[in-house]
Amino acid sequence: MTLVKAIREGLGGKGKLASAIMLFCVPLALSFLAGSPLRSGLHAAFDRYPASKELLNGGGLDLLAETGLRQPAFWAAGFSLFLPMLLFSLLLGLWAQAGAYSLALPEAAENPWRRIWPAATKLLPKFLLVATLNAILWGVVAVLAAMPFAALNFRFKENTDPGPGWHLFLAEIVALAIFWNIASAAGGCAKAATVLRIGGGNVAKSYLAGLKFSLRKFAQVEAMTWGFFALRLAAFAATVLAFPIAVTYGGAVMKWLLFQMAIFAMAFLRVAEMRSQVAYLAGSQPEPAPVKEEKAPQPAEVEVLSSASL
Amino acid sequence: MKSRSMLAGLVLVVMIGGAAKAFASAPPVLFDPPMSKRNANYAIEVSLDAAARSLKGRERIVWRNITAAAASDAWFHLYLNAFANNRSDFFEESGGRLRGDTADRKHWGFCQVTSLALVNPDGTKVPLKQLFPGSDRTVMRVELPSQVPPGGQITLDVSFEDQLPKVFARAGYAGNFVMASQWFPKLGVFQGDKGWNCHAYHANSEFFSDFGVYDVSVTVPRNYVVGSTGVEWGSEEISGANKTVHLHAEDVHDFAWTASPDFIEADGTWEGVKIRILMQPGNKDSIPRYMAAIKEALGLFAKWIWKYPYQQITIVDPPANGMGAAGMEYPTLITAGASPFMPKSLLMPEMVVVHEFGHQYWYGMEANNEFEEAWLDEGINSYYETRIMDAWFGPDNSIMNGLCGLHMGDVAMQRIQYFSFPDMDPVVLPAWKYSSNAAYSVMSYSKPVMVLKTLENILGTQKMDEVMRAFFMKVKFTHPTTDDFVKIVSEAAGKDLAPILNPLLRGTGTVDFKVATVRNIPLEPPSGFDLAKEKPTLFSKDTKPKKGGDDKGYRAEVIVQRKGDIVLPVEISVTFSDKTTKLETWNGEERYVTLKYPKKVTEVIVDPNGKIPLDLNRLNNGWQAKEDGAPASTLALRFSSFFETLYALGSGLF
Ligand SMILES: [Zn+2]
Repeated sequence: MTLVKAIREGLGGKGKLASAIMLFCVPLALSFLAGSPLRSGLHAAFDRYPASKELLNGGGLDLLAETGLRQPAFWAAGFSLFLPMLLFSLLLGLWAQAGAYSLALPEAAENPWRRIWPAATKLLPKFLLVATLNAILWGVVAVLAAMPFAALNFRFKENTDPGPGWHLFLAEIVALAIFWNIASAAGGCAKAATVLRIGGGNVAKSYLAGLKFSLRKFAQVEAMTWGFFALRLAAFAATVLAFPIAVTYGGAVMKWLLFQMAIFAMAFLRVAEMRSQVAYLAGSQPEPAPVKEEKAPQPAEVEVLSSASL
Repeated sequence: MKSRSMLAGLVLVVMIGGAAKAFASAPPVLFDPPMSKRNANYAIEVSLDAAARSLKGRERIVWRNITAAAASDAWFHLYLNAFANNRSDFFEESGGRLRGDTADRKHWGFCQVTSLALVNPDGTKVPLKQLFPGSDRTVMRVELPSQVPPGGQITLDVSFEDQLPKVFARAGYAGNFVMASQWFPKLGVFQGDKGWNCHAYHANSEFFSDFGVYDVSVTVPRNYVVGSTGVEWGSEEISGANKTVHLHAEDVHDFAWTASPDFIEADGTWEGVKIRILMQPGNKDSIPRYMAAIKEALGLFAKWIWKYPYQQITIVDPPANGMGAAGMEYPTLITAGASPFMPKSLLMPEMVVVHEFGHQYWYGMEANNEFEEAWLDEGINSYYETRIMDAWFGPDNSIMNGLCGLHMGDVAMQRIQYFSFPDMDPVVLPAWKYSSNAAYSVMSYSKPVMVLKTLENILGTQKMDEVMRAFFMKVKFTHPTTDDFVKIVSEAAGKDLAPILNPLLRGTGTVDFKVATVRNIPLEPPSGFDLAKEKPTLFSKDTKPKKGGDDKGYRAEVIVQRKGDIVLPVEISVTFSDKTTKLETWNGEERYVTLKYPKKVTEVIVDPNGKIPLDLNRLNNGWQAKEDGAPASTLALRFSSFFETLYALGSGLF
């Protein structure tokens, strides 16, 4: 299977919308939950006072500082759910990804809305293991890779002419992005391998197969990852950076809606990437059994995982 | 530690015993007649050992006693000894941390006097014994063989060796960058019967010296670019790979120089003043920002105070690993601070240049005692910093000019600093006596801005400008005190400002006006006996108040409270349900004022025009009948988007 064909399959097929919506809803719901104590705190602090109007147009920062100073618990209370929800987003995100990968199997395309929830839930424990393995592996690699940078940083701080500081920082940003995408691609291929049951249901074997695939087809996999990554960043930057801060509540709502469109676009692109990974991996297996699949599509959701033949 | 072996390798090019004869010409005459009394004059030859980061120099000091009392000794600052070890006053007070920088405990510094002698008129020398009266060696005293009478003059020859510390507080080195400030043995200020004013180098203090003429010859490696106080009038290549640069300054009270092979030089002029910017290569994109800021400051100071009288201003940009040297003022030389990461909408480089240039007036020519009354330079100068930044970018944008849509003015930023430490110490206090470094900085910088801004609003901007100009013109090239300030500005304002200024400068009282209560009371129809009638009769039931509009049938009572101890007049704007607004003025003398109206009040704002930035709580200055959730909701949406971005990252969307 060629990369182009895999991406075309990733972008086509049924079940994309359900997957994208599920993935989109995770950060949205969590931000709503995490924001609720802050929302009520802000209303209690500012609704009564005319000076608060300055906050509307991006000013009044001294009012915010004042409020925090007079009520030391103000920001702590407002942000109390922020961190728990961030941890929760890792888990829920994985769950939504499990749903999206499940729907990437051709036989799962029918009735995606009914299928996605149980499939995601069933696959979640395996994905947790895959994500953990991936985090451990790339965590170790990250520490090793960061060592020369740490030494460089130290030398810069100790004694050197000032020019390289900026270049060093840029180099670190680029290195971080490269590293991020390599880890992300390896994790994605491992998830695809898991959902395709490469390794016969053994998660560790699936993980290794996915990792091996991402390294064997390194150039292609990286090209795909970077392409989707760039598109997602572009969607994000377009709404976050292109529109100035709103100076009315209505304007702020409009900006927020635009932001949601960007997040949804990112979710959609992410789902397309996952589906492309599945298609590319499935199409590159030495013993494909596409005939059997086409002959006997299995509509029942419980069969989805086991029927993904190799 | 490292320094001894480094010193052993010193290559010295200073020819002891006659620098003048090596020069092709004499230094220029910059000011005739002199602007100052010039009673502390220095001729210094110094050589940098670039590898060892050490200096070796000798100086001839000519000092004249301009007081009415005789001097029997002489006191010197050896500032670099503050960085000699962790037992200095500076270290014990700062814990090795200052202005966000931490000392490098592997690279200490010192200033050692290797010989010291009184030079007789016939040229013979009398060696003098070094005494160290303080708890560290930042102050040195010598007893003179005979008294210096009023009007008398002495000449001293001093040889010294400096080890520069890694930059942490103003002076030192970072890589190849050298910031030679507080680097030479320097006289304190003789104050007649009060003796020498020569304090130890404290963590929270700057400096105090007399005016004079400086002739300084600096020898550095040939590829180094040198910047300094005053002007460069000659340079020559000498033996080895070195060059000597000849520098001259008049009517200044300190001399600093910098050297680095990496500087990129950018020159400009403003009305005859040479502008010289020495920039780090990585920061060269910020040259236009520095240039615009210095021109803005030169122009507005000329307009508001006095045209900058010196021939040159040098702006030095320290490297990223030497930011301890950044944001500092020396006569006709300032250090700023830039970074390639600094967004254009964050006006820190501009603000720092404007601030440090302002010190040419408030410090440079004012020459107050920074040890004892730091607010006189830092506070007044920070006020002018806000004035210039506000005039340049507008008062709501003069620090943050649309960064991610956010904006903040310089006064608002100073206010944030002020209300975090409003009442621990008074403004006027010797620098080392503040309860903390934060209190020193709030009382020396931020609170004076609040005080002077409030004074400006009381007097009016035009009058304020007249008053401040009068103060500067009267005290320039002297050593004014807070009392001089209060006296002179009162005279210039035509009214005694001591009752306002003294509590604010010498006390710890605060200002906080508050809308304590607003009551809209429905009018009841009269009931009971009407005693105006011939015979007490019950009010008839049809004399109900008319309920035509919303404000009819109500009376209102507003109580505005003064919570702080400082008494200031304040405006109160009251808006009614018929959309009319009334502006009241309250003298603020009582603890509260009660305002009564025959109609319904919908909004009350104390100090609606923001004339009293001293007010510690701006939110409670207002009250509105109808709650307005839009600001909070808008803010909540912004935070929500921020949360969502991170959760999107967490759930694998990036
Ligand atoms: Zn300053």
